This record gives sequence, structure tokens and C-alpha cells, in this order.
Amino acid sequence: MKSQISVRNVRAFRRALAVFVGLAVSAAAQAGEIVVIMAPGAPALSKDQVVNVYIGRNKDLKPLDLPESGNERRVFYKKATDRDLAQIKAVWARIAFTGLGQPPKELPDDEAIKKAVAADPKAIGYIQKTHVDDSVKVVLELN
Amino acid sequence: MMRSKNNRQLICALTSLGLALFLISAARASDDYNVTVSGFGTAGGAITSNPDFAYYHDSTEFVGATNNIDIGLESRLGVQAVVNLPSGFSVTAQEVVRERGSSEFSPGTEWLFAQYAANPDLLFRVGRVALATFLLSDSRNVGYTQTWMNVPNEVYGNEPFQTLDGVQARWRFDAGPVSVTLTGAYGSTSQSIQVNGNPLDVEAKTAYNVAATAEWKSVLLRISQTSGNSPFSLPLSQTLTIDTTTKDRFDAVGLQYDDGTAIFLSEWAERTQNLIPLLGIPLAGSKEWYAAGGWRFGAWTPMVSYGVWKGAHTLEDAEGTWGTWSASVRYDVARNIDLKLEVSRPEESNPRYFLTPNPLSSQRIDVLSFGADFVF
Repeated sequence: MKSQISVRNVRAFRRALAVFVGLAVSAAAQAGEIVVIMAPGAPALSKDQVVNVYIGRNKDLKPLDLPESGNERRVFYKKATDRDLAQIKAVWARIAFTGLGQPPKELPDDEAIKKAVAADPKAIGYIQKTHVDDSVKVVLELN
Repeated sequence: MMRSKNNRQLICALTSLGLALFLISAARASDDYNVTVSGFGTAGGAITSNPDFAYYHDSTEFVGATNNIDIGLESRLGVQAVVNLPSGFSVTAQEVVRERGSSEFSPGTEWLFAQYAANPDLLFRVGRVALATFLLSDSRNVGYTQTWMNVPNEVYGNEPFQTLDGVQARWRFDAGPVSVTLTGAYGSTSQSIQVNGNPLDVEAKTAYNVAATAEWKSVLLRISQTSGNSPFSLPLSQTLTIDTTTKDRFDAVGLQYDDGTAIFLSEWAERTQNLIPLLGIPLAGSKEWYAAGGWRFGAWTPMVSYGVWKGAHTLEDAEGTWGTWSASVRYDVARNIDLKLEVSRPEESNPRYFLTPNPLSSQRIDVLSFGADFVF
């Protein structure tokens, strides 16, 4: 009886491990496939240009954000700026409380970002590469 | 002096309010405006190892911290409203409740201006703006934006004024890969301060601040000059009073490196004034600098800083050079909230750290500041 329980436990552990590894792999895959998009016709941008927009240095474009609770936003800022979300929040708090602007507008998901970007040549956003379609243009790939 | 100060504040407030009302009514007519309200604050305290010397940050604080926990020095709450109007116009108002002078917590207007943005990079403002004498002056109230608990007293403690009523222009442009920002502000300002424990109302007329900032990748360099003319009377005896105007000038250079993990910050400044007639010395004058370095380990950011204040032979302060080490740690505990702890060991004789320093002592006092910063 005792050995049966132990075999069951081992199987459960393996299943849990498989699920965990699967999740980790898919998170890593997601992390590797974030792209920065603008409306079709926009020129390609360098990483520095994108960073300058998302830390409020360059105000010529209108940056869009995904929700803070999601993984994509955290991964985007880490890859683009080498900063975590608290640091980015501090950067925008300084901009906002010196009267120089408001943080990027937050939209609920990739679909909403695409729609907003397609409708405004000044808008810029980031989404998963697998969600890219003809309505938008990839201006920077973050690897 | 008090009366003209009040009149000027009233005129500025009324002008700004009038402009704000005009712009809001214009916007109402077109139904095309939005209002953003946000806020920030710090709940904190300070305590020292000595009951006899009161620790403070600058001359606008009349009551310092001793070996009983003082919450006044490190706590504040700010609320900001921005009304965005069509065609590049906006109105920004920021009220901050904090300890002012010798009174308890009281509200004050830190920013109140109408802005016209000709384009995203060219701004014109009229009203009250922060006086950006040094690199972090315009956001020193917002603890969440800072890595440390307090900006270094050696540099920031010299400037008695924190706001300017007048006009400001800001122009940003790209010079190759470098983002350059030029700002200029002109106006007047006033402040209640204490000098060696004695209260004094001071004002600065025909004051200006000009600054050039260059940002490239992780590096930021800022050069600035701030100047104002402050009339004051100095009674020498019952029959003799010197009435003069002090031309007070700060020249400052700030350097910042922040690549997301490593942080380095340094500022150098020099305060110069004309000599007081008959006495042949200035009211105040000094050279000061600090250098600070930190490293981010995930949510933890420890930082070490060394600051030097070198006072010239002046009426206000004793001549001498003081160096002080500080260490701080920031912990980003939750979304929008950080916790901070900072320790400094200034000498009892250091006029930039203590309200009434003991010029004869080189004993050091432990100063501990702590707090939670938040934005909402």
C-alpha cells in the first residue's frame, strides 16, 4: 500500500513538473517574441529610438502600454530598457509631477493595441509577434 | 517685505486662476478637454543619536529632528491636477501638504501654471513653476522618483527658494543621438526661512534659471545657472542699518549615469554673492559637491554617497569644509510603493545638517531617516 502511494506521488510530481516546464518554456517563448509595431508605412526604428519614446524623452510618438498585471509588459521593458516596472514607474512619476506629460495609455490586450496603432500614425505599441497581421507594421523586433 | 510678498503671491494666484478659468471655459465650449488627477506622498520619520542638535534639510525648516522620532521632516502628501485643453493648451496645479516653517503640516502651491505646447518639444508656461536650481530640484518632493531618501544637503540645502512665479520656456531637440533640452525661467519668488534659528522672510526679484541638459543612452549631463536679487536690511546698531541688495547666484553641473542596474550621480555647485557694503564679506557663499553610487539587486537598491560643503568667510555661516558619508537602501515592496532607510554621520559643526551647529566640535552624530514613498 505504502509503495503504491509513493508511485502515485511520483507520477503526480512528474505531471506537475511537466506542466511547470511547459509553462516555463511557453513563457520563455513569449518573452522572445515581442515586437514593436506602428501603422503600415512607418519607418523601422532603432532600439534607442523606441526606448526614448517609452521613457518619455521623445514625445513625438504616442506610446501604448499593456496591463501591468500581464507578463508582456514586464518582458518588453526589461528587453527594451533593462529596467523593471518599478523603475519605469519612477521615471514617469518624475515626468508627470514636473508637468511634462502622462504615462503611456494602457490598453487591455494585443488586439486593442493593434487597433489603436492601425488607426493613428503617431501611435506605437508592443505585441506578441504571432499576433502581427497586415493592419500594422513591425518597426522593431526585441530579441 | 511681507506685504509685497503677499501682494505678489495674490497677483500670481489670481493671474493663474484667471488664465485657468479662461482656458477651461474655452474648452467647455468645445467639449474637448480631459482632467488627470494623480498624487504622491511619503510617510516617514527621522531620528538622531543626539538630543542637542536639530537635524534639518534646508533653511525652510524651522524645527529639526533630535533623538525623538520626528515625522515632520520626512512626510508629505501631494495632489496634482492637469487639465488638457485643445490646441496644445493645458493647466497644471500641484498642492503639497508638508511641514512649512515652524508650523505644523500645511498646504502650499508648488506648481500652478498654464502651458502652451507649440509642439511636443516646445513648451511655454506662465504661473508658478519649480525653481530647478539643481539636477533633482523639480522633483525632490516626489520621493518615489528618487533612489535615496533625501537629496544631499551639501548641495540642495543651500537654495532657500523652491518655486518661481513668472514665465518658463522649454525646448527639446535631437543633436544626432543626443537629446538636448534647454530651459529658461524668469520671475520672482519669496520664502520664509530661518538663519541660525532666527526667522526671516526673504524674496528674490528679477530671478532667473537657465539650464542645458544633454541625454545620451544612460548618461545625463546638466549645466545650470540660477540668480536672484534679494533686498535685505542689516541693523548694525540703533542708528546704523545697512540696506542693500544681495545678488545671489548658483552655478551648477550635474552628471547622472543609470543603465538600469548601476547608478552614479554627482553634482558640483558654487554659490556666489556680492559683498555687503561696510562689512566687506558676502551674506552667504560656498562650494559644494557630492558623488553617489548604487546598484540594483532586483527590488533592492543600496546606495552610498559622499558630500562636501565648503563654506567661505560669510556673515551667515562659519568658514570651513565638511565631508559626510551617507548610506541608503530602497526596497520596491509593492506596486507604486517603496520603503527606504538612510543613515548619515555629519559633524555637529556642519551648518548644512544642523539648525544651530556647534562650530567648535568635530563630534559626529548618527542621523537615521526612513519612510515609505507612494504614487497614485
